Amino acid sequence: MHSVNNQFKRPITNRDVMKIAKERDVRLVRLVFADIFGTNKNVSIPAGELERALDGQVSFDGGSIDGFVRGEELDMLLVPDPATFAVYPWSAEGTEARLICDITMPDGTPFEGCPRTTLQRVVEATAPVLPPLRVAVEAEFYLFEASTDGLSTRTTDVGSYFDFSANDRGEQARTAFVAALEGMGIGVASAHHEHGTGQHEIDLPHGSVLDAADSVLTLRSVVKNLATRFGLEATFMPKPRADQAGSGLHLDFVLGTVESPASDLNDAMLYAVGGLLSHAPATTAICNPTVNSYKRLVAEWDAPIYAVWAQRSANALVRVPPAQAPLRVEMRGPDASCNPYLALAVLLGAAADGVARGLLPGEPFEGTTYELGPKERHERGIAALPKSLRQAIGELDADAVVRGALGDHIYHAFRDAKLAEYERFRRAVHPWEHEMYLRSS
Amino acid sequence: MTPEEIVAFAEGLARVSAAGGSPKAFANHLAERIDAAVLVEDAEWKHVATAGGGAEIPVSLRDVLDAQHPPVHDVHRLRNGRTGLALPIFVGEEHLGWLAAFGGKAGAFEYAIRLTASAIGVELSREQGGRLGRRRTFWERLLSRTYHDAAALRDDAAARGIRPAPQYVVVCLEFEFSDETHAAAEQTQLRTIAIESLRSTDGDVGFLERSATLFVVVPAPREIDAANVRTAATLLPRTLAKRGVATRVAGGVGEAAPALNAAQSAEQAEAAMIIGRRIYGSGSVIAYDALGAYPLLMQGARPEELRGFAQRALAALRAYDEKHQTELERTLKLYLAVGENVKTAAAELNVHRHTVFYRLRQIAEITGCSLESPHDQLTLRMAIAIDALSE
Repeated sequence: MHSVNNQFKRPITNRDVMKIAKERDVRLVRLVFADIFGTNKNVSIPAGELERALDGQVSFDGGSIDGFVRGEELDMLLVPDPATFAVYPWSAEGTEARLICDITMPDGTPFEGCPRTTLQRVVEATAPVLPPLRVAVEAEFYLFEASTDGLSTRTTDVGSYFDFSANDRGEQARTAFVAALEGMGIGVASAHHEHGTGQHEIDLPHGSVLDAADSVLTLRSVVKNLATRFGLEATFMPKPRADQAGSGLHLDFVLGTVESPASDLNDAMLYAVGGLLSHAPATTAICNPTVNSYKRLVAEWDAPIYAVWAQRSANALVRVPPAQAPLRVEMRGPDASCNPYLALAVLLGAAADGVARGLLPGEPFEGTTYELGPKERHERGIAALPKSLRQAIGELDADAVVRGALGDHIYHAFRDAKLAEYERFRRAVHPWEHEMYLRSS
Repeated sequence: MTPEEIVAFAEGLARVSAAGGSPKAFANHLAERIDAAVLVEDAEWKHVATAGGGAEIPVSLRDVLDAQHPPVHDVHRLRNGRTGLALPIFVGEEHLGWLAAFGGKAGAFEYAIRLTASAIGVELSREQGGRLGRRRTFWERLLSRTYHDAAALRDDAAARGIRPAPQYVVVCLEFEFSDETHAAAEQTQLRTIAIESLRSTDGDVGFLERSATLFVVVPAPREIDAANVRTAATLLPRTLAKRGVATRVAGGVGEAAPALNAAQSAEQAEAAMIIGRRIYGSGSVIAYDALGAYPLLMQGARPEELRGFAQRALAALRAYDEKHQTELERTLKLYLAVGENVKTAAAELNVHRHTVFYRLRQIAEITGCSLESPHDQLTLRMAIAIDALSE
């Protein structure tokens, strides 16, 4: 993601990385990668090993990562992308940096279970079909008071949408997040208080698809790390409090190139929206991947519950703001917990299928979708989004296009893990059930 | 086979033909004569006839053939452990299906198989022509208001092998060929693109040519289907350009209408095409409901049609005003009444002129009309005038 505020130029080659590391006196480098759930994983190496790491010679045990290769030891290789090299601003000056990596098998072939490699494969496969596009990100999260057991949802914040209170620690922390991101070469378009008390949003400007996913990974780690310095705990859980808005990860597809942005509603955009809506029930499994995700997708706080596109309606799944250049297709469904690589991969796959098959989305919806009745939904061909993780996995099973975007390895690993997660949830006895039934039964 | 045996076989085929000659009868004749199982399939791999029975006949010839589409005019060998011969059935250059004889002996009767394939080809061609004709008659009747009740329409559709839909949108198209010498070939290509763009899974799509105009009758049982047909049709000129077709297309799209009233959608489509051509020039496909006041001006209208037009044009604005307690309709009327002078309108409405600009943007979004477009202004001005006269 390139920003005018970048404090240093992005390295392009391994040689650039070595040069910057030396200039900044980097002592430790974290080789970062994402597992299939989008969790930040890393292997630390001393600076002396950097050259070997850049050559893709650092291995790790893939068998110990959930969703990779379970039950057996398998050395896999980390192949860093030099363009992602950044020095952590919170480390003592020039001591710690990171590189985001792809994962390969020991013989150098790409690992099918690597989300970053999967996204690159989908970007390449859909490039001949989709119009040129870039992606902007709106990431929402909550900052709660840190507690010893790490499970607090308490906040002293009283702010709401766009509020400013200089003495609030959340406000101060958010300012620090923005500065840190900019320091790592990740531009920030804007940052503000969100609807929920303790809820904040950071918007990243449009960049390449891969940059957008990398930046989400970085944003999460920066926010989580720095929050603790303010006595706060950051969470990207989709719905931490039932009485407050959920946290989304809106993904804006900006059509056209930087040099020639698209401004008119055009046929390719319509077909892409048709594909996004047609595959929405299945992509929901990836964009909303936890049991908790489905507590956000309810008729409150402008969360989407139907596969609808609109120009103005705030609770539509897909929004194409009218008369705007560059033209944006905003996906409002994904939540803050999703794996950004996989979410973007399935959304691109869905959009490309729409373009390839000429799928049309009907007329844009006007008004609020929360008042839609079954008859109107039938007339307008509007599908409901899944109401549970189990239902979403069923939709994923039935959608060959979305499964194809994930690839067999990730599809099966993700499916198995999520079915197990749902089963654990189903068997758990929740506090609500105690409140409701313990005395009355 | 000896020449005598070939002649005797051909005479047998002639007798089958004289007796009414269905593909099944020809297949039986071949199966009996060569003592083998015989299968006839159409070009889409659907079974047409079997004869000589037995386990030798596969579920589909597709599973045992390595055939390109269209296949070569020659004998095809079978795979997957099958023995026998398969022959594509052609009439001229048109591929109509397949004839296969199974078993080790089939190879010795290649001439008989070829003669039978020719006879079945003539029969399939005749049948297909008849079926197409029967289907065409249904669409002609539908667009000529021949059916007076839904049951008659349904029964006639079923008799002609057509899956009818409860509601249709009719699209009419006229092609302007850049080069008349290639018109026939281009017509086929254009038709293929139109079929791809206006396809439906909700029933059969009807095609009807009346002089130079192609009417496409597309099932649209739900609101979204009608919207998508309208969008797909209006995108056709762009689709053609993308496919590198030089031919220009002019066309119109009618509103969704119940099957019994599909003729009205066809009339609207034709009117939209004529008006669109005069107003916007050639090279575009225009939806009737996007033409605003022009159909009324061209065709004339009864008072209730005029009132209906005014209500439709202002309905979205009124619904918004009612729901949000705004005064957008009043703002629009005043803005037009004072000669589009924002300053005067602001003074009359007792608001700042920025508020008037804001409201005008809202009006444009809600009505889908650009207040800077003379066409859209005509629609809104006429709707307001008709509304005032109706009060």
